[in-house]
Amino acid sequence: MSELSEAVETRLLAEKDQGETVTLWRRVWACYEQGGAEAVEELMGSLLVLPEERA
Amino acid sequence: MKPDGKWRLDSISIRSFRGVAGQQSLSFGGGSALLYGNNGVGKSTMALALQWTLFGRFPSGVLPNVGFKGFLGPVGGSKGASCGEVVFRRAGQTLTIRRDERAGKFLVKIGTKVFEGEEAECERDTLLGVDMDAFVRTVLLHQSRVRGLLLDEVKDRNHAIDMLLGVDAAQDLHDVLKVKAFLDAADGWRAAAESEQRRHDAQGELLKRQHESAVAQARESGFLNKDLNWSALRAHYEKLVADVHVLASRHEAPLSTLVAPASSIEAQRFATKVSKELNQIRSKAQSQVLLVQEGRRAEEIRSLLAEWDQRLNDRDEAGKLIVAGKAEFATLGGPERALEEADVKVERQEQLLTDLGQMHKLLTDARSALAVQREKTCPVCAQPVDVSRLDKDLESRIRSLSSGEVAEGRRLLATLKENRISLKAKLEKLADQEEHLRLAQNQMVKLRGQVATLIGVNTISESKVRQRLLENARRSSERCESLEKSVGFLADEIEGIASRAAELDGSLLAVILKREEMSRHAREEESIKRDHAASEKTATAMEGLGARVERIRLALLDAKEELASGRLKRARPRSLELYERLVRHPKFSSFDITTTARAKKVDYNFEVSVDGNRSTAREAKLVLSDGQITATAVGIFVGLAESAAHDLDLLFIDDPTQNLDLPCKEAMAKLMVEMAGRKQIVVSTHDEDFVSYLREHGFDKNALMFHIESWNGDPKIVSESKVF
Repeated sequence: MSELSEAVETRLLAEKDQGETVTLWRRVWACYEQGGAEAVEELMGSLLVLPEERA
Repeated sequence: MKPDGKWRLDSISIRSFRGVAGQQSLSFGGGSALLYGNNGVGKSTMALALQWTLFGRFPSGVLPNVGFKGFLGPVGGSKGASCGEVVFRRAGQTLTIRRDERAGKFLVKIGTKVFEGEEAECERDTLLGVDMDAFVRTVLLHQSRVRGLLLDEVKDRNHAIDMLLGVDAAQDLHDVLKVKAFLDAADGWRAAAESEQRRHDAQGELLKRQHESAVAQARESGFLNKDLNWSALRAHYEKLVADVHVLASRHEAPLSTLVAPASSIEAQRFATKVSKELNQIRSKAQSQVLLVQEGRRAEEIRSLLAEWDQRLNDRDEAGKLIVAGKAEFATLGGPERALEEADVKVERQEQLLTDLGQMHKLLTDARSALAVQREKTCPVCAQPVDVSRLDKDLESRIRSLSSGEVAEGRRLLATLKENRISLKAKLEKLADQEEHLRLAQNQMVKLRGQVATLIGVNTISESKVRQRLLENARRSSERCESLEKSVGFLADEIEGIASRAAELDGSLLAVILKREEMSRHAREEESIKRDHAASEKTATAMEGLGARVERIRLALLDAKEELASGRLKRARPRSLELYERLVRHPKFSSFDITTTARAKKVDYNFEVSVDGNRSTAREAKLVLSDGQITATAVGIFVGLAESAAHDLDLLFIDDPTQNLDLPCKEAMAKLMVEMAGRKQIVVSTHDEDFVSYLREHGFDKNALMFHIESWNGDPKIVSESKVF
């Protein structure tokens, strides 16, 4: 695991109830490792649900 | 192999990659090496190939504004899938790492074990003890990371220091992880739900008002509360339909197909159907049909009467003119007799004129004869004759005959002829009048026939025509009046039914429809509540995501600051030592890079000072030259590399002498030689001074010297020495 990833994860785990944040961070980091910042931007876009998408 | 058990680079083989169009291999055998040659011959390609083969990507800043695939492809050849193989060795072990873009494969082979894909990546990180960030921070110094320190913009220099310290990923991620979009989305969901609720409430209020208004209208129209339901409305419709049927029957119109509506939807079209039906009855009712027929008959009678009067008048006028004309010839014994007499007078006058002409000729002949007479005695009585007097008498008589009788006779003849022409004209006019009279008589006979047919008799005398026509006109008028009354009654009844249908539409049906609409609106309320709850859930989820992203951003900044300051601290002693050796600044003998955590970033203070005295600190960019900054950056890199813990005994330094002066280049060469004595150093450069200094200080005694002489799609490499 990279130092940065580990350092971020350590900080998140030190806070209470941040399990979902840690999961999100792992997704973000894996994405960054695979495709860089652009891939993370795409991931953020995929997580974003806009009101225009209402059925 | 070195006894410390760390990996050293044995070889790099590449195909279709950047400066190599075909295939190229460099064998280092674990030893240090120099790659030198002119610009653009593919030196940096080897550094990039090493990184790409190991990690498959590049850190930020290496690929400015170009696509990854476009960057990989060979510069001098057709596009081909890149392939790279790197071999490391340590204490009897061989580690082969291979990346094949075409096959999409990444392989790690250690001994007889072969790993692929994610397993291979894990094995690589475990065996080498570095990830990509650590690799570029502590093993491979690419020239692009030093260049950034020379930029004017503080933001760009900070980014360059990020890259040098290997924390640029933290800033990249911090920049790309945006919270606002999630919070805006949450607000958007709530705003949309509230807007929908407001619209629904407003619609409910409007429906309520419309319902109250419709009920009031129904009450004004005389309907009771008990009528304000579908059953009552349906009963009204059935009664109305029954009335329409009775109306049609009573007025002998075709039977109606109208039926009462079975639902409120059908009811909305009912008024139109009733209107069509009533129009049908209006146009096909017996009284209306008869009224039209009687109207036509009355019109015909009026027309015949007018024509009869006209013809009668014409005939009478013609008769009068004939009588007057004939009266004019009464004293002459009639027109024919008068014309005969006129002809006789003309003939007589013409005869008279002929006689006068003959007399004139006779006298003229006599005078001529008298002129040639020898005897001056009378041949009858034999008495002497006065010829002269006789000639004068003859001459006088001839003149008198020409100017008197003959002229008068001719005038009279002309007058007689004119009289005869006038008489003929009068006779022709009389004949015309008689023809006109005959035609008028014929037309009257024809009209009598038409009148007889109209009034329904076989024949009718002339004297009775007008009277009968007037009688029929009166009777027709009476019938029309009667039928118009009947049609008027029908119109009143139709109006009454139409009015009832409109009243049902505008009052009872309006109430029913509004109530149905209110029911639908009430059902929609449930759906809106569910949507509202779902929107709130999504908004909360978006807020939650935003909060998590914000926590990650904060953690990233915090981690970045800690990693950067920690690495700088560990590298500081060696970096300071190299600053003194490489830069040798006459005044500012020390430098320091400190970190400052801000709300959204980590700032760096890159300062130089006199012997580390803070009061003398000045911003490095304002004091040091580009060459001095470059040398400082190399010093920092070496400090970072030597303070890092991993299993690679390798430093790959790309072009370390940019902007350096000769003393600094020599110092840099000495540093390379010194480090090559302890670990594997691979240096690439185009700087001939630097190469000379390296040779001068014995780098080539312990290292391979690869001279890239030229490039024609592929580097032409000459290995100058091989010590091992």
